[in-house]
Amino acid sequence: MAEREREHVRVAVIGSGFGGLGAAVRLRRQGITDFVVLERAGSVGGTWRDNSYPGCACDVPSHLYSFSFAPNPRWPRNFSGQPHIRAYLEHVTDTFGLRPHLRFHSEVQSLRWSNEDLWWEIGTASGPLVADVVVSATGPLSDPKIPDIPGIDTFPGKVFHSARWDHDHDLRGKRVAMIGTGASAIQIVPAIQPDVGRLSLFQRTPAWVLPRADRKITAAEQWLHTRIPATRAARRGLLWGIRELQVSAFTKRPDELGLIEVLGRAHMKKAVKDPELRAKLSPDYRIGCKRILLSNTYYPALAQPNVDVIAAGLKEVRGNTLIGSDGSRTEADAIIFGTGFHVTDMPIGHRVTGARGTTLAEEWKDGMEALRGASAAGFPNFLTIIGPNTGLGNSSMILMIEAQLTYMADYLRQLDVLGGRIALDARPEAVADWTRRIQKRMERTVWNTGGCDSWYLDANGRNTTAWPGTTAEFKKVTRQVDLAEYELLRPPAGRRTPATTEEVAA
Amino acid sequence: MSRPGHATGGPYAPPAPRRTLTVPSSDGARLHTEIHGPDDAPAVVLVHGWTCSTAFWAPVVRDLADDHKVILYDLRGHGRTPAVGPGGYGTRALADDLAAVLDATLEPGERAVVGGHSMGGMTIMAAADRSVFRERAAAALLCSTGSADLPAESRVIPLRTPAGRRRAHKLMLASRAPLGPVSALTRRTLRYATMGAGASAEQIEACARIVHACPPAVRSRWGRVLYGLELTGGAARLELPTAVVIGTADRLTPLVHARRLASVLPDCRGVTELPGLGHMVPLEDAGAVSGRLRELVAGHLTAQSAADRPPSQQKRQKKEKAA
Repeated sequence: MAEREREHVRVAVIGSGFGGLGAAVRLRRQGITDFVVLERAGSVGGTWRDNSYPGCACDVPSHLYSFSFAPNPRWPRNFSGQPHIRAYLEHVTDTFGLRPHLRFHSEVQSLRWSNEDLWWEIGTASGPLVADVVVSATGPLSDPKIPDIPGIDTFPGKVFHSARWDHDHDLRGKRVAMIGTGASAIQIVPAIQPDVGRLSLFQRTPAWVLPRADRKITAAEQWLHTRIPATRAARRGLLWGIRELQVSAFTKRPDELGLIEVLGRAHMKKAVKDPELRAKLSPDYRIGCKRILLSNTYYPALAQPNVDVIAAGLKEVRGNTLIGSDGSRTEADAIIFGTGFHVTDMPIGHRVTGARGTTLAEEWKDGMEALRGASAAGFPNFLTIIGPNTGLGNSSMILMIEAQLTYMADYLRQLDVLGGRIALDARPEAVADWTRRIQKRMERTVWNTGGCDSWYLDANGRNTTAWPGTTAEFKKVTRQVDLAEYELLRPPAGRRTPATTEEVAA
Repeated sequence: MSRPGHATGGPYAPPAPRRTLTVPSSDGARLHTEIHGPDDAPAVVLVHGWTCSTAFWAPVVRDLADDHKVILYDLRGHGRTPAVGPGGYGTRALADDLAAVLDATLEPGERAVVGGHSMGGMTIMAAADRSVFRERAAAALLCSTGSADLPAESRVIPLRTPAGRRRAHKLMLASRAPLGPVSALTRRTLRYATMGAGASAEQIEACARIVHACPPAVRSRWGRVLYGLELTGGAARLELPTAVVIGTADRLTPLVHARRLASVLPDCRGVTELPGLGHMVPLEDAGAVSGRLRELVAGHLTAQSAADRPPSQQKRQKKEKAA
């Protein structure tokens, strides 16, 4: 039979970043070892492997931006850099014995649900396999988004995206154009500014930048955290608690954020003395509407004589000349796109074909939606980690990932309890009800009322990425799978009978 | 300790059975079994719930026994079935006992509609894989019941968090505290926990007498079984027409259980939500329950059309062919 030729696993996890590795750990803890982790690259780490640009660091404190089940008492800094986070994920992989499950260079090319067999047929770069359940942990910040700029191919110099940094290319003394002022760009600018000849920063919308309370975590603290784990837990608890208390300002009372804007303005004033530059850098929307950035070095770097801020987007490229949307002309030898990622359109969606024969991308063309951030209707036994409306504006995504992993674990437990060849498909009305409740709450959040266009909003202006509540609340609603929200799929009658006959006989 | 007798008059007084028998279960437990109504009428087997007994079905039997053969039995430790040793409580025992009763009371080839209330519904789910059940049951009624997660979903002790409710209801379920004589306080408590706002004094009295009659040790043993219940798999394999009935004000097994059952059951024939009723639906609105049972009898038992009868028989034939 055809199925003999293909490898069959219980669970296929896509991606080996925080989400995928966390899923692998949870599966093993659940006693499930019949699973693979499919990774397109040659090592683990996901976003924290791909983003290696100079200055790359996390803007959530490391003690909170780590798995609760894999504490690291030896984080070197409050906000650890990319190399440390990546090393942490390698360490998690080894500690929890995940290596045997990893399949590198196995980019998922297609995922197709079989209504006959009730499993996913997966085409990967390293061969086909079938899986009963697919956990898609592809992450929102994995596929770089590069705007379509007319004439970009006439540019004679080097062009790359911040997440695909070319470390072999020497930028020293060059005229570099940085496109974008998001979280990556503001880390790159101060890191490369001292070395490059000239740095031109194309800014469509200025960001709110707040001071970054970064410092080394002293050897004494690290020793204490190692010897007395409760101190580490307390530190994490405090970092978490503070952020939980901030949430209501984002989701319910955006006006309260006005107080934080005062901090932001003072932060800029301290470093930028030129009123003209300050005017360019001043946002005209409520803080929090776009992601709040943390940096102590961004504004000082912009005040340096070799930096230009062009308050416009990049419209066109003609040879070495970059033309801004304000008509300005800038000469450059290299272009770096800090233009973000495909967040609201989940690129894997084009490769996933569900029970109705449509792709996830087609189903989501009017906006992503999934029950409890995990299950899309018509895509049985398919769970997304960091799915629709699970993003945060102010706290650690690892908390959300772990909540979703709890949901995943219960999902698999329920499948075991139900027994036999059975699949769960989210009921369209349950998904609609969930989405309606989220969108209702979204109405007064800063992302919808703050007066900006951000990557939280999709093409229709609907916020399909952020979670409008606290992490504790999300944890509560993803604790268990409610079977009332799912339809049970059973194999077509012809295929079911033999199995039942055996049961009768037994 | 003397226990209160049942109501002696009115619709809630247990009718006299036409015949009683003691059915031995697979492990030797002796099940008090009653048969009401004419022998040649379509058969309905009813399984009572936690802390109840055959007396619980009195008003339903009064509705049905004229033209149905109604079979009732007391679960282990309840009513007139003696309690068993500590190992004799569990969902497997529930299934064994139902299988034994079906086998002992139905004629060869005779089938029945099986109805269960609360733990009686769980008995049906537990028996889903039993060949006797598959052969004998034509349709099922699951009344005021759930398949899992009872302590976290119950709202008798209305704590906000599931973890809190789980702990609190565990104490309630496993408690061995004697209820004492039926008093105004116990009637009020029982009404709050198990019945809707519209329950009549007569219904409350009948309910109290039945529940008080259950020995605390038996109550606790079965309560622990309910605490750790996981019968979703059984529900998912109930491959016969199954109707679900639930009171919307049920605190013990709230509405959400019925909705989950509707998702899980392979052949769900609708969820009847009875507004304002509590957990004791067969006492609170006997007519609704007997009406639903009549529909199942009419649809799946007396109208034994070839299309309807077969699931189990077709399979049997196939098995024989295979063998």
